[in-house]
Amino acid sequence: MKQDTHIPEDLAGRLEEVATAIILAERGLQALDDKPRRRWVWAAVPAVALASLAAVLLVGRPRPLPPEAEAAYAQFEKAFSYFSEAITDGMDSFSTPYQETLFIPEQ
Amino acid sequence: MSPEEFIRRFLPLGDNLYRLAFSLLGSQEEAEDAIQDVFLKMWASQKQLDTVRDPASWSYILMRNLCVDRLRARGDRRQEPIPEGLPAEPPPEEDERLQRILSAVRSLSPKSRELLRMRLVEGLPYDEIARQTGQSELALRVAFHRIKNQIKKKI
Repeated sequence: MKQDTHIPEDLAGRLEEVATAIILAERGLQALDDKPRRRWVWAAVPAVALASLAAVLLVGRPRPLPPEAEAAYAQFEKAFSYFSEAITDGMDSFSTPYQETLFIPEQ
Repeated sequence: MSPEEFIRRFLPLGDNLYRLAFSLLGSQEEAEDAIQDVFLKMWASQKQLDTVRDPASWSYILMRNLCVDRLRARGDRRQEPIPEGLPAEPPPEEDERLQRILSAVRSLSPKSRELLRMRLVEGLPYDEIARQTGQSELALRVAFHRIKNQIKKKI
């Protein structure tokens, strides 16, 4: 066969489109996702571990309340104890030293 | 056969197949379309690819018959298809699927097609693509996310 036909410049591009389509057909769109970077993962493990430990140490530690908040919290605890006793005893109301009688809504 | 092996063994035949297609069809545009179609047909027949002893001859037969079909569709009946010993045609649903994917790829912008080529054909990871294109890896992730959505819509 006489080989004098001019090969168009964009033929290589068209063939690359074919190659792309074939790989997509075979591997699916997940082939476009980045390759896993194992070095990155292993380097992150100590950092994540340290960050977790720091979070546990800082967040888990009970913090002292300001004095006015301490007093309010003590009142709340006492009022809540009256409420939970009333619920336990099947009462439909309860009273506390701080307020008038409070009615418990029907369940 | 893996896609990479197919690309390595068969795509280099592209220039000669183009010459054959052009000589039969007489049109650059039709010859370029025929090249893409014949490679997709070859890949869709991948079950037979490992048994093909002479890839060049097999691809020429496929290309010739594809061009004959196109000529006959035009009303030109001078060429006869090669009769015996033909590789079987690929299942039509597989052929159509590949055509849809190719069409989706061709509908992308040149920049997106280049990113696809770097990721899929060259197998480059994002950090290398970022280095070569001058984009950030974050911009690349966004770009690939958009490309995936565009392709999904079309196929």
